[in-house]
Amino acid sequence: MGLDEKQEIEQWARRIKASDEAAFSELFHCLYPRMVKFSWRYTRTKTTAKDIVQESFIKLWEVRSTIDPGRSLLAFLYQITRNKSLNHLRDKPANHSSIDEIPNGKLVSDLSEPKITDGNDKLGEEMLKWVDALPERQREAIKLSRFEGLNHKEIAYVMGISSRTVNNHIGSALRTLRDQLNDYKHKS
Amino acid sequence: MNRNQSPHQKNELTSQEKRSLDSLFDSARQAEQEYFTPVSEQETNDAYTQVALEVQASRSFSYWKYTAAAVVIMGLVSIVWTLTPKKITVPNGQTEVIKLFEGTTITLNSGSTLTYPRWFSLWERTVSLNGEAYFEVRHNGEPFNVETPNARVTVMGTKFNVRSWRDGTEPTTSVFLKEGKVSLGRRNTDNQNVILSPGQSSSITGNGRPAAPKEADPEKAAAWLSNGLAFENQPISVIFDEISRRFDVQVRTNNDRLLQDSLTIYISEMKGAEQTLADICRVKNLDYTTTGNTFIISKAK
Repeated sequence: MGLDEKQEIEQWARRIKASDEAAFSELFHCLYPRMVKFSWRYTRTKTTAKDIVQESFIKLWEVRSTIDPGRSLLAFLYQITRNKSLNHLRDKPANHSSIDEIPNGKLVSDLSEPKITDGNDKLGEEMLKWVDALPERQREAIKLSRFEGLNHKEIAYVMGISSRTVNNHIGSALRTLRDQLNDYKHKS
Repeated sequence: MNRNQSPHQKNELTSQEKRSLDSLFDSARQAEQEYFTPVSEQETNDAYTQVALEVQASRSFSYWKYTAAAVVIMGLVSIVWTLTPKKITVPNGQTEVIKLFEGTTITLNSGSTLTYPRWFSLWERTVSLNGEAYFEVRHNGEPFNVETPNARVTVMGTKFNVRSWRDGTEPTTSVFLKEGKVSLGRRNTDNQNVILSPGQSSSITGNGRPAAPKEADPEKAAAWLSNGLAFENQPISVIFDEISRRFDVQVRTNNDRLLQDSLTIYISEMKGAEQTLADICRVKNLDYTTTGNTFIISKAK
C-alpha cells in the first residue's frame, strides 16, 4: 500500500467519523474489491464474500463515531470483515459454492489438480497449497501479510493478538514454506 | 554466504530464501487469480447502491426520522399553542400588571379582560381589551394596537389609558394619553381617526366618531392606577359599577331611578368600598345598608 493511499484513508477516516457520506462512498469504491477478495479467502464463495463485505461496510458506518483516526481504518475494516467471515464459516459450515462461483469454468477444488502451465504458474499453485496447509493462525497471519500487504501491527489488530505473536506465526509459516520449497526442489 | 550460521540461527531464513519465497508469493497470488474473478467496477457500484440505501435508511430511521417526527409534533403543538390567544381576566377587587416580552407594560383594572396572540409582536402588536388598562408601550418601530369592542387605539410608544366598559347601552371607549402619541378611531375603519397629544383625552361611543381631543387632568384620567376614583358628570350606575369591580362587592339599589342621577367625583385614593359609598351617599343624600359584600343603596328617609 502506497503512502498516498494510507494518507487518503486517514483523511476518509476523519470525514467518515464526522458522518461524511461522500467520504464513505469514496472509501467503499476504493476498498470494496480488495475486501471481497479478502473475505473470499475465508469463504471461498464470491457472492457470500460480497454480502459479508457489504455488511462490514454498513457496520463500519454504524460505528463511525468510534473511529479513531490515529489508528488504521484499513485494519479496522479488515477486522470487521475477518470476524464476519469467520462467523459465517462457523454458522454455515456446510456452505456450497453456487454455480456463479466457478470462475473460468474452474471449481475451487481444482486447486489440488495438476495444471498444465509454465513452471512459475505451477510453483504458484504449489505455494497456494502449502499456504493452505499451514496451521490456521499461521495461515491467516501469512495471508494478511503477503496477500493483503498489512504490516505486523495491523495484523495484530485484525487478529486480536500481539505483534510478537504475529512475528512468531509468520516466522513459523515462512520456515515451513521454505522447507516445503526445498522438498519440492529435491523431488523435481 | 549464509551456509555457516550458528546453531540457534540455523532454522532462520537466509535472505536468499526470503527472496525466493517472496517471488513464490507473487506466483501464488497470480495463481490465485485463476480462482477469483476480481470485483468489477460495475459490481462495486451495484454493491454501493445497496449499501447507500442502508446508510440513508439508518440515517432516516435512527436519526432523521425521529428528529423530524419530534420537530413536527413540537411544531404542531406550538402552532396550536400559538394560535390560542392568551386571555387574562383580572378578578374584581384586584389589578394586575402584565409585562409583555417586547417590553410593554399593561396595568389592568379590576374585572378587565386582556386578550393577545401568543405570537404577539412577531409581525404586529395588537391586544384586545374589555375593561380598563393603562399602557406603557415600548417603542420598537411597530405600531401597537389596542382593540376595544368598538374602537382601535394605535400607538407608537407611549403611555396611555384605555377605558372601555359597557357603561349604559352602548360600548364606550375613552382614551387618555400621558406620553407620546396615539391615534383613536372606530374599530373597523381607518379614517376619521383623531390624534391625541400628551395630556389629551378622547372617546368613542358606540359606532360614532371619536370626540375631538380635549385636555384632561392627568391625575383624574388614570386615577385608578393609584386607587383613585374620578368621574365627571357620570350616571351613578357607572360609578357603582366601578366600585363593584374595584372592590369586588355588590352595589344594589331598591330604587333604579336614583341610578340615573349623575355625579362628578374625584377621590385621589379610596379607603375601601364602604368609605367611598358612604361619601357618595352623603353628597347625594342617600342611605346604605350592608350585609357581607353587598351594599343596598336607597333614598335617605
